[in-house]
Amino acid sequence: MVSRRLGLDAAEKYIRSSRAILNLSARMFSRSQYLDAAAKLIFGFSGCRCVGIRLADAAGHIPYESYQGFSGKFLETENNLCLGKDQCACVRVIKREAKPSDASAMTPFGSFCVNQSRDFDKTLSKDERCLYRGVCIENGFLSIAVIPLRYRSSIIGAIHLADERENRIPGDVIGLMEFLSPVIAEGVQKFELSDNIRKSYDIQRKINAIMRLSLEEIGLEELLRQALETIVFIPWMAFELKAAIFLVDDDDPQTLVLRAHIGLPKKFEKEWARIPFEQSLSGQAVVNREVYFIDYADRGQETKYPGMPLYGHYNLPILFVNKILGIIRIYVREGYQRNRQDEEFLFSFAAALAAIINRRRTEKKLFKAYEELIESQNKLSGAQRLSDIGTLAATVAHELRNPLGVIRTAAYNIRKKSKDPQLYGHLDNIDKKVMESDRIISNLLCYSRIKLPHHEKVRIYDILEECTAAAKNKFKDFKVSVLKKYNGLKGCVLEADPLQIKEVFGNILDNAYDALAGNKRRVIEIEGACDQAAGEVKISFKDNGAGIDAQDLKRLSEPFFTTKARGTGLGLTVSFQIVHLHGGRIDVESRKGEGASFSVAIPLFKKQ
Amino acid sequence: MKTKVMLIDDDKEFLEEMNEMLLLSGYEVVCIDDAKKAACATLEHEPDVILLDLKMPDKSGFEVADELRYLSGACGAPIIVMTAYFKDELQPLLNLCGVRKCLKKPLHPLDVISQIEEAVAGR
Repeated sequence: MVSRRLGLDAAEKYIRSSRAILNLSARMFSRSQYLDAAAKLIFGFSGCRCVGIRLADAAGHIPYESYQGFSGKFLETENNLCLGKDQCACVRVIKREAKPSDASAMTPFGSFCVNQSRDFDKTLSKDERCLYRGVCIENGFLSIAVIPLRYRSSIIGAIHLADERENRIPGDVIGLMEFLSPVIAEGVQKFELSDNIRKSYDIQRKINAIMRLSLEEIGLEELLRQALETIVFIPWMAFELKAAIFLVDDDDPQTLVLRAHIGLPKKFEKEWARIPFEQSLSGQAVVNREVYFIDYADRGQETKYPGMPLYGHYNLPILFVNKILGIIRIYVREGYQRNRQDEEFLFSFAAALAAIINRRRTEKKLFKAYEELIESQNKLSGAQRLSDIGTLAATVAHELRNPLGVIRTAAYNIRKKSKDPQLYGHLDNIDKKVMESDRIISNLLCYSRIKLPHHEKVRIYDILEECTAAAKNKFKDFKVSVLKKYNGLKGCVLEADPLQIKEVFGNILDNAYDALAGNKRRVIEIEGACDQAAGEVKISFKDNGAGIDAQDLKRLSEPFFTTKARGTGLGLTVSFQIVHLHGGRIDVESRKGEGASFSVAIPLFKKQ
Repeated sequence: MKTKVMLIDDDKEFLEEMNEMLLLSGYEVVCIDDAKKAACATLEHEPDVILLDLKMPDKSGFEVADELRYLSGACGAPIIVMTAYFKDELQPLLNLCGVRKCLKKPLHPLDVISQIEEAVAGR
């Protein structure tokens, strides 16, 4: 078809030229590389001194994406040309809005072409001249052509040919350009699409990386920092390697707390640690739930300071189902133009972070709830155990104390009836063992019956006196020097359960006496003082007995743990329990062979 | 005249040893091994003091004590209960049944004697 209209030579030229352009789109790596090479080819094909390819951008400008021969000054004025605002032949070609005055220069394809611009200018009326900027004529171009770049049914830009000489753009050159227009446009579109695909892929990969981060077992702050790192390193985004994440404070929902950042100077770390909403634009992003973009150029003079970097920043709210969790602040390079694609990416980033933060928080709450559940379950099973022990203890008490009673009475009767003093020693032994068995049963019962203390005013000195006297009486065959150093407790009154406290002191003293069995020199030292400042009474019982093994030390409060041949392993368990219920503590210090010291601290007043 | 002690307990060995012990100590003793017979026996023997076990099959010591309290004429002998497992919560119930004393098993013979003497003296 081409050949029939143009003749063979021209047809071959058309085909060779379009093949050359197609070749470029296959060989070149990027859009700008492609456009530069295309401009060079067109320069050769057209024979014009100046060649440019203009492409409309998202903001409606039609800068020269690539060119040959135009002066810097010319480009400077022309690059700002705006499709929406300005009037000129090239704008109308791209918008397909030719005016009647253009008609003489228009081709059926939609190109504008004059070969003697001054003559064309002369044909215009005064009003019509306003429709042309006249920049080309001012620059001395006599031959001017603007050929639309057609992609399918739309026009994405134009090829601009210009020359200072007249008649440099004959019909066959225009024809060739019009033939190449869709081929070039196809190439541009191809690169644009592949760029977009690559960007989307990058974005997807980054979001995936962030999601993967969220599965790793790292702290929230470290996770946020790594997420920031992931996004500022996207090469085609004009971000500075500087960013920060602030989260709304849990305790004070009117304050932002700096939780993670990269590249911020130490100074800011402190200054920005906590920011009330009203004091910052970040805060405004939170309050209004909008993206704020602050360009350095937009800042008022008063907010600039010497040494302030020349870049602006985005403030993005992190929203989870309308609940604001914090903001992301990302710095952009100097001269950065705010654009929708970046914002969309940042939005998905913020949404991903919001989901992660929310999940982390929910997990934390769940974990805490789980721990509480386990704890209360343990308590419950502990209580169950105690009540089992209680039942067991009651049964044992019944079933053993009755026979013990019979044994004791029987021994008494034998002693009465028998005149043989040789039997007395054996009967004494029976009596002793009956008493010991009864003590074990008492301990068991006591352990299963620990109740909340029944607080009353207690003279601690009197109780200590009573307990030491009782212990001395119990072990009267035993010579032990008891050093009492608790005169400071005279007159000291505290709120406690007197029976329980007696139980505690009794148990500790029992143990001390037992520990001294193997000693020649037996000393128990009881020290006591009232610490008004700490609000507690401290009493320590120190013996010079056998001491306690390091490994046993840890197990002292364990029920049924005992090193004695005859012990229930409940005495100290009960004591620890009782003191704990009083809000106090028992500290034990001991080394094997060097005695033991039990320090009991009991609060002066009942804890509310 | 000898003090007459009535023992009520389901444990036969216990009764046997106690009986022996009290006899040795110069008391007159009546042993009852069935709580259900307690009321009749009391009316029959008119003891000076009654030692009563709290935990028995068929009838508890509380029931027996309560019953005895209403058998007036039944001498109004003081009741001393014996138990292996004493809980503070039981005290009000014991008061209600008119029980004066409570001995905790395993009993010590000397304690038993002193309690009996005290009860008889305070009668």
